[in-house]
Amino acid sequence: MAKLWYIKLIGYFALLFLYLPIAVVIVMSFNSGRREWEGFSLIWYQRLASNTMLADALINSLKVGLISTVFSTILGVIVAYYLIRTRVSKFFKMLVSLPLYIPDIVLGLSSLSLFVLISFPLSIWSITLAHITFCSAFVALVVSSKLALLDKKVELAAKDLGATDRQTIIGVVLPQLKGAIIAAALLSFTLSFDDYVVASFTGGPGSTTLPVRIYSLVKFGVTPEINALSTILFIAAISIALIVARVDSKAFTR
Amino acid sequence: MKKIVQGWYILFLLIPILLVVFCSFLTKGSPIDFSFSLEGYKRTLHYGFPFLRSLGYATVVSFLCLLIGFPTAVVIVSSKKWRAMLLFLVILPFWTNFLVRIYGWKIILRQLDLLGTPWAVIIGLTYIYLPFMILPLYSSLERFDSRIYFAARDLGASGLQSIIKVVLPCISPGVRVGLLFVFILTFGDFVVNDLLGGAKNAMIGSSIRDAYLLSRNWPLGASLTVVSTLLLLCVFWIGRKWRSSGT
Amino acid sequence: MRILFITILIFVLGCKTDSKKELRIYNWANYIGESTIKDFESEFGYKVTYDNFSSNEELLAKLQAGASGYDVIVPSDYMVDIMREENLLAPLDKAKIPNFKNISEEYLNKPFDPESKFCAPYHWGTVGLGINTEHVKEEVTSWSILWDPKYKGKISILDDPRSGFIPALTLAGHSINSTDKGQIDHAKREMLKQKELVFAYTSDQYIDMLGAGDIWIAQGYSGDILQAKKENPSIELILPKEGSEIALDLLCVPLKAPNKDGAFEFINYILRAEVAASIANEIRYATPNKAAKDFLDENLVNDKNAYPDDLSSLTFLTDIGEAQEIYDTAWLEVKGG
Repeated sequence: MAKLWYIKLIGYFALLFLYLPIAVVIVMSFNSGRREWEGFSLIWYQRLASNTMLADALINSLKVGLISTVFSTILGVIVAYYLIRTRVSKFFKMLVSLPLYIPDIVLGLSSLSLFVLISFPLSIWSITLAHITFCSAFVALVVSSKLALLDKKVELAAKDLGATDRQTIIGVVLPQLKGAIIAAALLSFTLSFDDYVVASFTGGPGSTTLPVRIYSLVKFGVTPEINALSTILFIAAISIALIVARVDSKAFTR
Repeated sequence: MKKIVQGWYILFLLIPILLVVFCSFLTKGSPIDFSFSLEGYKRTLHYGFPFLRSLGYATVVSFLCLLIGFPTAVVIVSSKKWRAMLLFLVILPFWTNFLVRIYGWKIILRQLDLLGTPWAVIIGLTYIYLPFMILPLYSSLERFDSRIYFAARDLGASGLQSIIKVVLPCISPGVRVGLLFVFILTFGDFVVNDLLGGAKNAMIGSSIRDAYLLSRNWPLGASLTVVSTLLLLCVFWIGRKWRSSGT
Repeated sequence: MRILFITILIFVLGCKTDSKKELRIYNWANYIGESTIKDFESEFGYKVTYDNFSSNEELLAKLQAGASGYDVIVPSDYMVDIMREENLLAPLDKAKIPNFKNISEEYLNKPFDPESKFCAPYHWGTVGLGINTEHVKEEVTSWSILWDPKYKGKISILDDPRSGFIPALTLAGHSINSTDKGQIDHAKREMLKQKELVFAYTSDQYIDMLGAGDIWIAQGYSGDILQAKKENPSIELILPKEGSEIALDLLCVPLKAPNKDGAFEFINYILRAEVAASIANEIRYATPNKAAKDFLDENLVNDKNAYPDDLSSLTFLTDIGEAQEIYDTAWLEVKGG
């Protein structure tokens, strides 16, 4: 697309734009002072190492994130399939897209009301359940928008050749959706890992996730330990991606 | 299986929301007084400006995200080799935590003297929700046959015309999903407005939070929520009508 | 896919099971010494879970959710009143809290906790002005400075219907607990006039804003302003002469607390003179602990704004019932409703 250079230029700038505040955070994590640049220093990384509260919060966030991602992706894919490939009632359609129309405060509050009603203890699990519920809706939407664009004829051909519905789904549909599913799963983890509102409402003793912990710490401006933690997370995420790419080359060349 | 799936959403979604709707018709109490009242809805009438403001921001930010997100999705799709890595790069910022990135913007906007202004809020919201536009757009673009674009060009259309009249309609599921995500997420925001905009011009999200957490007026919070949801549904219903009349 | 499952497994298995005694504390953010919890843990052999809330209403909501499981909570005065009425608190076992005697009498037997049966006073504070004296050269004694056009764009106001109207109400000679619609509307009009001078409405970011130079004048809480002063000595705390709010936060034990004895042990620890003083020196809020006075930072004790001699112009905020709605509506209008 030679004539589209200006389009692509906006695109490249947009990618840089996404990293602007991150660059600021990373730079500030090496600043020995809190505001003005006062020299390079690793002091905040040292302080971070002994900060058990942040470490516990990080672990909570990862637990919630991973578990909710697995289940919301599965749930979301199933929902997407029902939406596009089968007949579903209007009720069902409305039901599964509801989380998208609801501001997160309401999701958090309503989930809290439910847990109170059934006397379900507030903990990591209450947060996870709430996360699965709203993340799966996003997964469903992303996957269904891709599924809608697939050519049905391939599936019909498979069925003609004798495949059962299940075999068709596993052997024909899912492989074609792989990209969308991975994107949806990433999205789901992100939504969960970065969620503040729902986690703060549905959390209980000891379930404080990272965003909730950070929220209470930023009163005085971001304590630089948080900058250090963010930088570490950033580097860790890139490293994991690189390792996965090397180890399982198929995952990234699709 | 379908019943199980439906059951999950009924339990964890429908019932909670019905609880909220139920709550909107009750009376303020501690935490709630189980007597019928329309007081919550009456007070909701005062909130015209916050609603309009949220709608306004949502519209502007959605448009900006589409404007910036589409080229980005094109960039990602254009490179077969680096596609997955680029996708990952789009999501990666999220793993450094929302608040931390907003504080990063605080530093930048302070230098630009934009802190506390509506522009700061718009920039912040666009930044935060951009990936929610990029991902669905990419998902649709992936399946898009670029030959259609070239055919349009061959027939004499300019680059821009081809994009607007040919490409976008073809990937409309992705466009719609992207707009949906960004619009709704922006509409319900209050954190960015608080942190970058100085909380000076209330958005409906902060009004809902204040109703529940400051004034302890649950019926008010619940009515605001119900009205917000209905408002969003209206917007999308209008959007759907408009789009189908266009083709 | 496999990697994902392995990672999950690792984290689920990584759940530590501890044989130490457990204690769950729910407190405001930045409202305890940096090492207080750790010191308590090592001296008494506890594993403490320490969570934060950002408003009394949030605390109440979690407690009313019934399933919160905290042993020690720190509500403010008016919230103690509400919680007592709702039967959410357990009475303190004073026999297990001998250090209770360290508390100064004037903070005991208050209307919200008669006989101080349920709570031990923790810290008190006021709403005042944080002034950056490098930019504000004049002497400040009154709330009226918030209306001074010289400081346009350099002012922050507390984001709260009750606290936000304190300057306007006291300047007009009205009570901060006024239920009179006329008085509240007058305050609203004054705040609307002042709105264009405001950089932000916030109840917690003003410390950062003062430090960064975004604002020069902040309406804020005494302890927070004094903490900002630690970072930047040109910041002063001023208690305006027209009067203001005083608030007392107290250590309480929820009725359903799993470990009440642990809670009492913790409260007793906090009431120890040296511990109370070290916390007060760090968070800069005033301590009601008379025994702690000997260990307090001199600069702090001598600051008449931090430890005022005359408390007569300071009033506790009380529940105003139906009138709360008048405040809410008025505040909504101020913020752009």
